[in-house]
Amino acid sequence: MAEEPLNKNTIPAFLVRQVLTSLLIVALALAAGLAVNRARPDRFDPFVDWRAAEVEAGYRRLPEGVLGVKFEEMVRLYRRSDIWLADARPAEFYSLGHIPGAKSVPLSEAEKVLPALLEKMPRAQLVVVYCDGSACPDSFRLARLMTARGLRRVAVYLGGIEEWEGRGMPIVRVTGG
Amino acid sequence: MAERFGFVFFLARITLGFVFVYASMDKIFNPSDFARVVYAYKILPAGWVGLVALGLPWVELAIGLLLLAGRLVWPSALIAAALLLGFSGAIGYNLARGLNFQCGCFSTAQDAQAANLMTLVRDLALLVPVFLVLVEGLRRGLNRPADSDRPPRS
Repeated sequence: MAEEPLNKNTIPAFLVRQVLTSLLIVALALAAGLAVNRARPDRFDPFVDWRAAEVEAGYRRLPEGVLGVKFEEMVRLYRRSDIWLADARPAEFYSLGHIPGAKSVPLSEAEKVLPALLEKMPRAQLVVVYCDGSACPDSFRLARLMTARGLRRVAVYLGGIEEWEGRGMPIVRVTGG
Repeated sequence: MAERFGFVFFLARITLGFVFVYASMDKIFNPSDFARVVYAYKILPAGWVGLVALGLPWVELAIGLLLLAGRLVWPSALIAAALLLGFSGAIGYNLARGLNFQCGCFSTAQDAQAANLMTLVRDLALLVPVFLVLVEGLRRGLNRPADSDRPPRS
């Protein structure tokens, strides 16, 4: 069958029709998602304060042998001089702002730098690890690496720099030379 | 002449359909895990995370099924294009600022591999079949308005 020539005048009408159909598909899909969620026994609350919920959920999925530290406890520990604080984020983020006294131990370099860092550290040293916030997995992974290397008291501060700074606690920036 | 490439367009549509259906599954079954992944992108306001995490997989499932079924192909491909451009933008932005994050593309597992440049390349590569489907759908839609939503056939 011979093809008809393209009629450019029909393009806007075609596009409008298709875009409206797209929006309808999205709306119906969202409605289906909400309806199914309502019927689920383990219903997920889409309007939850995700930041707070995630911090709470984080404490329930800590790696074995790793402790969780909440904000108030973190403030108390921060005022002690005998904790060893590790920032698990990439070095650029550490430079932009970190908890005073924290050492930069980016997860990507941990395997390389941990042996030297931990060499003289007592196995019972209390180490607190943090990263951006509750949703970043780096602190979990760094904590796991540390316990695997024999440290017995490793904790994760799940609120991370996000909660720390958000609650008005001091941070230190590394200024370039 | 374009008819000769019918199989390519068919393959593009079916591939996209499978990819989107597969991508939606883990997220639909684990909305809170997916919300954690979305939150970790640090792009959306915290209040939007839950709604996006709940709705997005269903949009993926809907367009995946429509593409597989060959119904409403053009608008489905249009949504696919918008999603892939959005995902690529978010991944590229986070890679550029050095964030360590999970893609959440196909898995919401906590220990899934972090997103990297290959994740971005894969998302951008999926735009090729989307483009093929859109171009062919546009051609057919304009030539045969009554058949506008039919997929290209081999």
